[in-house]
Formats: sequence, structure tokens, C-alpha cells
Amino acid sequence: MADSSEPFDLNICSLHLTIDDLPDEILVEIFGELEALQQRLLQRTCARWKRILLSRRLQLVVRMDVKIELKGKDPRFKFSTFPALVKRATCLCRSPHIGRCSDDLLPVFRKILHNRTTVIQLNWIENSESYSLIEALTAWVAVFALVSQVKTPAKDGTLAEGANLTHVMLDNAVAIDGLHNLIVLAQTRTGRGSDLWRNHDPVPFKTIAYRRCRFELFGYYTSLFNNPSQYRDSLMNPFPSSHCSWVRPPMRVLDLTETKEALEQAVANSIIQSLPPLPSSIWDTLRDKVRELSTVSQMRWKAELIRKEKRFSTAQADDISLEDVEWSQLGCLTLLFFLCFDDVRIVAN
Amino acid sequence: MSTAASSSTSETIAEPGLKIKVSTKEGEVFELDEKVAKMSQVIRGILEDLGEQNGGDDSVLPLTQVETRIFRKILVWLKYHAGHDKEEAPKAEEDEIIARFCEEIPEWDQKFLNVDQAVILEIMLAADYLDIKKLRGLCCKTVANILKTKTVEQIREMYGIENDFTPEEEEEIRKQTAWCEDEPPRQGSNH
Repeated sequence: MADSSEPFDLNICSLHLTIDDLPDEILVEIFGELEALQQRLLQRTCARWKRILLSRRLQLVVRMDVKIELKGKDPRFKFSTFPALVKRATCLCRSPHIGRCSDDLLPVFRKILHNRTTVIQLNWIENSESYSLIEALTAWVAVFALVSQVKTPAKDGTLAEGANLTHVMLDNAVAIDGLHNLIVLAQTRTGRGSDLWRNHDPVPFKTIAYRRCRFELFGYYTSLFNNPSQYRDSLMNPFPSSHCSWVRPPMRVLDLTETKEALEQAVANSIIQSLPPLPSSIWDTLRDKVRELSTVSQMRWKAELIRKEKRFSTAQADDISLEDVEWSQLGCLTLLFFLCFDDVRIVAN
Repeated sequence: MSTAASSSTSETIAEPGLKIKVSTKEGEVFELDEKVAKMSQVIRGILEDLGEQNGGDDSVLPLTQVETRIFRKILVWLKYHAGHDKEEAPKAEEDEIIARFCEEIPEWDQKFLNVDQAVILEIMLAADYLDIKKLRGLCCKTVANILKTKTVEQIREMYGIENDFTPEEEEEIRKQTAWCEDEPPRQGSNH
């Protein structure tokens, strides 16, 4: 009987196996791990690789790098407040430049996607250390355009490229809107967030998986793309400098067949788990904020306490004294709301 | 973390259970715990075909395509993962892909596969033969990570692959894939 514990140094063996000795099925699996553009470039290696790289099996999963580098970025623009960012983003969206970035990306998406593709992996590539939220926003505009793109189906009724996508995997994405970027992504697909699909019957996404992503915290409350109605009346600012304004939640697979509430809860749990401890200085910050709140804003805070915190759930707003609230006893997502809340804004009817 | 990746197989699986004997290409016989052996879908299938009541006898399952030196290495991996992995039901292809996306190559496996490329290819072939999907996938990901950093010319040289295209054919492919070449960052301007 052989002794399986006998040490054996494989590196000193004389072996002659090369990648060319592998069967097609294994090469398919190796090539399947590569990014779409690299798959195309490797077609030039030899006739066998070209044949395998063009095989239908590799059309099921497409992995793609998303690179956006805005030229001539306005160096004066600093991400100071959310309203400022919204204003800036609105200007950019009206200008042709973000559209041009999307226009550059879309033909690439169309070339690499097939109507058999069911899984897409998008890898955010940050080109420089100064990769900004505006660039992240541009990338999302392109991604939304990708998932909502509709090409007129062919006469034989075959679906457009990407029409059968059901699974999205996001790597290293920077999401200003945090969770809401993902929800809008899903809604865009189902037609709830866009009318682009109204003449077609797209396959709704089943899952969105993310890893190494960076979510801006206030994106939990408000959104460039999908302002949740309960916060429509609030002006949100970035967190005080004593607190990190973003989190990297652990990798996760969101099941989009679940309700929106369940999805929100899942991501809220992710955020809570990955949030660094809040510094004790925030208690003073909150006490100071309370003193400066307008009456309308105070009512908004009380409503938030009743909505979010169990101990206040049966209280009447008039019975709550904000100055007596034990801030340290509140859940961290409630605290984050108060930290980024600036004021109630007047919403025109 | 165990240092089993350094090729020691002294780690033992807690469950005594049934023992399965297998023989390598050279005829060397190894005795494996049932849980370890069944991580290979091929061995699992054979055992199920034979009926598990026969598993405890002296019959030896021949693994005629696997050399002893590679089998020893695979055994290290099997023993480690039999002791550390949760049993999972087979997944649909897409779910498998997502599960793999959500799983970085664990540190232990990275160390395990930190060997000469030719050895990785041998392990990959053996894992394919034995139908150990997870190990085969790890090897594929590792090789793909190597390919990601190389140009076509470097790959041809590294693996001794002959360029069997005519100059005209190669030029044609170049034209077809020119849009991927040196793909610049998509540029716009936000004035």
C-alpha cells in the first residue's frame, strides 16, 4: 500500500505537458474566465484557440471591464453636498459627454453580447487614483443603457443581444446610490423603471451579485436615479468628516425575485455589518444639529424615529423630545440618516 | 490555517467510516476515507454502481489515467477540502458561475497551486478525469489569471504553440479584432 503522506516535490519533476495538450472542454473553461476583449484578442494565437474561442459555449457568460476616464475633469468640482452633486450630475447628463461615453461603450457591449448570453460580469476599472464619483456615475449611465438597450428584434423573431441576460455580477463597482443603483438596474430590466422595454418582453434579472463594491452611505436614503418617496422631502449631505462616507459591503448575491423591501433589508444588513464603529464625537454633532433644526425638520426626525426605532414605534410625535433622545441607543442606520440629514426641502406640487 | 498545501498529507479526517481502495496508473494502491474518495464524482459513480455494500471489501478501483505523483498531490487537496468544505447540492450552471464569482481563490488553495504551470495542467487533467469540479475550476482560474497578463506572442512562446495561420489569415483576424487592441479608456469630457 502506498504511503499517501510521503512528501513529494512536484516542482522538480520533469514534465512536458503544455496548455495545448488540454482537451477542448478544459480550454473552454479556462477561456470562460477571461474578459471578453481578451478572448477576442487571443483568437490570433492559433487556429484551434480561435475555433474554441468562437464556440457557442463561451457565449453564455460574458465578462467585461468597464473603464471610464473623463477627460478634462473640472478640477474645481469637489463633492461637497449631495444637492451639489445632483446639480452637477444633471448638468453632465444634459451635456453630450456622458452620452458619448455611453455611446462608446454600447457598441462594445453589443459586439460582445449574444442573444444566448445569460450571465454578464462587469468589472469596474478605476483608471487613476482620482477616479471620481462623476466617473462612477457615468459608468452607471452606461450600464443602465446596456440593460435597457433594445434593438428591434429580427424578422424571424429572435431576441436582441443581451435580451436573455438573467444574472449580473458586479466587481469593484463604485455606487453613489448604493443599493438604489442595483434596484434601478433591476427595475430598468423589468420595465418598471423605464418604458424602453414596453414593446418587448425582456427576461427579468434573477440575481445581481456584487463583490468588492463601494457604496456611498447616503445612497441608502436618497438617490440620483430613484429617490425613495419617504426621503423626497429631505436634503442630504455627506457625513461629517469624522465619519467615513462609504462602505464596502461583503460580497453578496441578491435574489431579485424577492420583494423590494426584502432586498432593502438584505443590503441594510450588509451595510450594518461592514460599517466601522461610529466615533463618540457624533453624539455631540447630533445634539448640536437638534438645536439648529427647524420645526418642520424636527417633525421629520421624529417621524424617522417612529418609523425606524422599535422603542418609538408606538409614540406620538408630540410626545418625543429630541433633546432627550439617547442617541447612543439608536440603530446605526437611523443615526446615519440623522448625520446626513440637512434640512427639509420644499417640494413643489 | 493548515499548511497542508505544502504537500503533507498527514492531516486525517475525523470520520473513520468506510475505506475505499484505488490504484494509480503505476499500480500503486491508496486507501481513502469514503468521504474523501466521494469528492471525485467518478469514484462516487463507480461506488454507487457497485453498490455500497461491496465498498468495504478488498476490491481496488483502478484510476488508470492518474499518475502516482499527481494523485498524491490531489489527495492533499481532497483531504483538506473533505475536512473543511460544506457538502453542497449540485447547482445549475449559472448558479455555479455566480458562486465562483463570489469566491476568491482561498489562501490555502493559492498556496496549493503555487507550483510549476506544467504541474497545474497535470492536476487539472487528473481533476477532469476524476470529475472533481471544484479543483478543476480552481486550476482553470489560475491558468486564466496567468493568460490575462500575457500577449498573444508571449503565450505562443510560453506554451510552444505554433502559429498555424497564414499571414493573410492572421491579418484578417487582426482586422476583425482591431477594436479590442490596446483598448483605451473610454474617453469623454465633462466641461
